Amino acid sequence: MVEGPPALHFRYLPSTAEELAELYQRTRRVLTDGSVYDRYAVPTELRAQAQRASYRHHLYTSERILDPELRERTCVALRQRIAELREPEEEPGTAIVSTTRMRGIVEHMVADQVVVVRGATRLARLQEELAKTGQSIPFRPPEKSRRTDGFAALDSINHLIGYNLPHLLEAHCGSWRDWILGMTVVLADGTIAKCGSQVVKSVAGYDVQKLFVGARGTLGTIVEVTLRTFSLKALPPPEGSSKGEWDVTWVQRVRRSDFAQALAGARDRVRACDPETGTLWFAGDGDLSRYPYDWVLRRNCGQRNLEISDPVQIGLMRKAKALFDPDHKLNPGAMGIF
Amino acid sequence: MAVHDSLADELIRLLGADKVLHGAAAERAYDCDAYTVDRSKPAAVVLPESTEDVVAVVRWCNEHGVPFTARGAGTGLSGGALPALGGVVISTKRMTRILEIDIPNRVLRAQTGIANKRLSDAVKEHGLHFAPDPSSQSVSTLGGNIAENAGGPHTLKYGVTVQHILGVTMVDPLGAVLEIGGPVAGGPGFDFLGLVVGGEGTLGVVTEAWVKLTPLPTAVTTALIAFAAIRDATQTVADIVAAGTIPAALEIIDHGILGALKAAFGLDYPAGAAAMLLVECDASGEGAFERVRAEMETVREICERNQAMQIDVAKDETERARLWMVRKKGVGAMGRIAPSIVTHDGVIPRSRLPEMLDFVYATATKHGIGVANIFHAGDGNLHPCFYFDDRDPKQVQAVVEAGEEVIQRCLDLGGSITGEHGVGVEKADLMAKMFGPADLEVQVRAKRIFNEGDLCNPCKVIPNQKSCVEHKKRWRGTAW
Repeated sequence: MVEGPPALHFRYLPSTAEELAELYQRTRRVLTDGSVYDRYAVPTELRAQAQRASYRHHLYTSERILDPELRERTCVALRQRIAELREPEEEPGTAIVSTTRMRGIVEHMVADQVVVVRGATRLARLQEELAKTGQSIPFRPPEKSRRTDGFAALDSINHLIGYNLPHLLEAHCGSWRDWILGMTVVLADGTIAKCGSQVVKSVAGYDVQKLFVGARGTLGTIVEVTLRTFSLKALPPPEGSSKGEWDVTWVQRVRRSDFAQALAGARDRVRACDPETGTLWFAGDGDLSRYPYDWVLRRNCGQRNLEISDPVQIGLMRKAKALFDPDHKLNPGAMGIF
Repeated sequence: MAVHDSLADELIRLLGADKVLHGAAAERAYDCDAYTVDRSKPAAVVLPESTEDVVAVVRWCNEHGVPFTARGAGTGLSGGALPALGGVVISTKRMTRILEIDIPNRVLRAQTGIANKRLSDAVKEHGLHFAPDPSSQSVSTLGGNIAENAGGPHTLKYGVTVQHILGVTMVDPLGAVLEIGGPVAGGPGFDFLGLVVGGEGTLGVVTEAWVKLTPLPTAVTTALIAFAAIRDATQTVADIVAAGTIPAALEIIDHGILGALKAAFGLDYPAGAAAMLLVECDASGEGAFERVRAEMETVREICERNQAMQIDVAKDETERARLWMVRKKGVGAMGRIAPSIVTHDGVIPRSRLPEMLDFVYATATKHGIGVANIFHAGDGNLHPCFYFDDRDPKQVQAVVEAGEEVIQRCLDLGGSITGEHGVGVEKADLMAKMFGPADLEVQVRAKRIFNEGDLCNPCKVIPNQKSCVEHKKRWRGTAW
């Protein structure tokens, strides 16, 4: 959903949870993949310029990152814009961490329809593997049905879980919080903990794994997930690829009763929608109409892409942060309020 | 005058005499839930009628250092509503109102003392229902369902309670009112509902909830299939799941239960049937009837491939109800063949069902007690019912040991210590077998987001909590 920055050097690429835990123990401040993306999210028109400048971007999915020559070829305007968007110089001692080496499918229990994967596995890779036995994770983001412009957004599973964005099969199949059976996380103090279970039904203890869904890495880093899979046969077929670039700026969810009005109000800006969940994806920079109980996310504005204004939610989030990451080490700024 | 009397008197002064129960009868009636092996007399029971009443009680309890436990219908099977000795029970049985029904948005808001089934009854005429359907649904409350993240036969397809709760009003352990969530699902922030639902009443007292309403299926078909060998039934389940269909229900009932049903209700079943499989397929929207027919055809083929003795498909709603009786009356019928039963609850990966069942039978034989099995085969959640005479301490001992062995086996096979009933007091000591110390420590952190103290339903879920050692001395009571 967010495009990545052109010029950032991941200094740390741990291969195991233990390495990551040890790194966290000796570091004051950490930025992981998704948070890095967010900070340097690049507006559409500049991406096009960068493309014309032959800037090859899909570099976050590999360690062959940041050839200095490529960096130099980035167009000046882009570089300037990045400089504007960039947060003040990173504090010394900030570890810029990529989890990309912690990927791979650990075990696929075919008959049980359960799969255990390492956190940074790309969803596309997992889907390939699951498809061999007619299974799938029913996550269908609307942008995949559009021509993409060559910039590969992060689609590693830990990132997708951390951002927990709406998708088109939610009414039919649910989303990440419904598919995650268990998780292994590394916390800011280096604790490695398992949450949940490996079976489709369990009420043993508190479902701590649910806290990490949508938490953008601010409570801990997901290094392994156990997911429930679905039969491909049971899913509605994907729509054909549509024309038009994916230039969505807003994602909005409204009540069913407000959906028709929300859609009518900005019909030319709507790029995708789902009446069952009341979700709309809009383009354009202008403001949106708001409705009772709705919520919105905005793209391409760096880290300021979400608004959390409910005082109860804020209070509980602060408490959770104080318990899981009291020094505010992980991905500062990623949730807006911290 | 005993300490207990003045506690009840103070609560009467706080809420009024008509909202407080105390004395020997009240103590006895509320000293346990459906987990009857552990009992503990409360000092008083309060019957609030609103969130404000609950706030008053919780704040009073905080001022006086008295533990409190919320209770719905008291049908819980893990001791979640077991009071602390001399503590206060907060019964939600007068908080049964439906506050708001929003049909176009398919949400409903109700007080949590309302019985689960009443939610579905209220919206049935609109073609909607509240999907979680635990066996206790005609009496168990929304609040209890939320506390335990209740399941039921339809969870494989429709999900457990947490997937149907959009928001709660909760009185936190210090007496503050928290409104979490609302009629629109999702939204940026952390998923605190995912902790509260399944929090077993240890994170606060939920007084109201927004629930999601689900369209009733337009086409349903139910079949009851008899097998001569249990392995055939469990293999059928594995094959159905592997084929990619998600039936609405997949329940197995074994010969132990069938025998009890015959003795208790005269219900007749094919001779030689070792197990029966209840399958329900449903669908809504366009082409529902065709899809359901096709699904049932697939199921039928799989059953025949696995040597089904008899396949009985319901032709109408009456027959459907008759077939479901086998599942719904099964546990109750056990009362006909033994004075006591303990219904256990464990989960294993579906594919291990056949070997797990073999183990359950062998364990019962080894300990010289009887067992009958009824379970949600589709999600690997088993309920072995050990039947015995609880007047014989040797049998009680055997039942406890057999239960522990069964749950340990569930863990050995990669499962869980509980699929529906919760941890409560029953399985707190088993948590350390399923989770390592770091894992439990992280669960404690999650609990502390809401509850830093030791008054809100204490000594449940997490073993060896520091305050529990002191509590156990002062508050916990035990049976006999």
